[in-house]
Amino acid sequence: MRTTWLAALFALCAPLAAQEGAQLRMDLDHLEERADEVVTINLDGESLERGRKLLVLKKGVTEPVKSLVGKLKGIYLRRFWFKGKKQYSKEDVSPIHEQVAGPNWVPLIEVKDRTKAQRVGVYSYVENEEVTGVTVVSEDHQEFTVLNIVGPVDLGTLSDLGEGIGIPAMKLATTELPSKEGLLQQPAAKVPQPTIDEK
Amino acid sequence: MGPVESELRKALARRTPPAGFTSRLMEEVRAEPRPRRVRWRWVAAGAMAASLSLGVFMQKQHSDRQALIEARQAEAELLMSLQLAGIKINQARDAVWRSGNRGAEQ
Repeated sequence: MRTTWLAALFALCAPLAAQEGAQLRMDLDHLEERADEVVTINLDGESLERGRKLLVLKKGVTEPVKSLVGKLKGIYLRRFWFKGKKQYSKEDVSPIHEQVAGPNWVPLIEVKDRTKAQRVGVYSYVENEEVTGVTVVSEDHQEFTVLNIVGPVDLGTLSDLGEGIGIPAMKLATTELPSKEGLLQQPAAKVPQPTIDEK
Repeated sequence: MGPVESELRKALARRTPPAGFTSRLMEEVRAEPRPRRVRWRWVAAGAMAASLSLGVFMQKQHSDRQALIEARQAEAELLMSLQLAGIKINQARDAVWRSGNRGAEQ
């Protein structure tokens, strides 16, 4: 009888502990206390729908971007900035690395620069031979960023967006972004450009 | 008695009113509109309804404005996240390309 109860309890709890598909568990609360600036974005359900509706109506947004945005199920961002030397350890960020090393996650690009302690990883979550999520992990001695996108993602469109293609010339991060979060105070023009120099 | 005096006497002589005069007079008096009384109860109810409507309208305006602010914030966050993802992907991709080019040159 006891075994049955335990089995039932385990069956109930197991899904709670496991990550839900491509959505990562952002177990990074401990970093918040140490970081000088923290950006947290959780967009899903109603909030995502609201943003999506406005974005799709914007002039200059191309079809691929509309399509990408239309299929999204959630976007979760954690970005931590440290003014001094690296104030987080490998163990601090291991919950993220462990998850993207798990089943269904496929590393697409992993770039490490040991001289600058920089590392960027792009991972896709594959289910039934379809990409249903992408996670980008970027870290150096002053920053740790994890961006988890849930939904079918076209990397080409994302890459274009990174170059400002597919969206109107936005004063992104200057006037339109809310300034309550630290990241949003950073003008788009100052968004760090690729700096990784591999050996 | 002059003719004028005679006329006056005739005119002011006591007469018996025709039959039903009193009841007709009373009916006419009753039929006359009474002076209007201000119905404060209705005035109060109207004012209350008006202020309630105004309150509902203001509340709706406020919630609409709030929803728009939230939508704009969500839109900005959405764009910023996607753009950041793109920047990071390009950053990694460029590094791989540079590495590949160097390998080819060597």
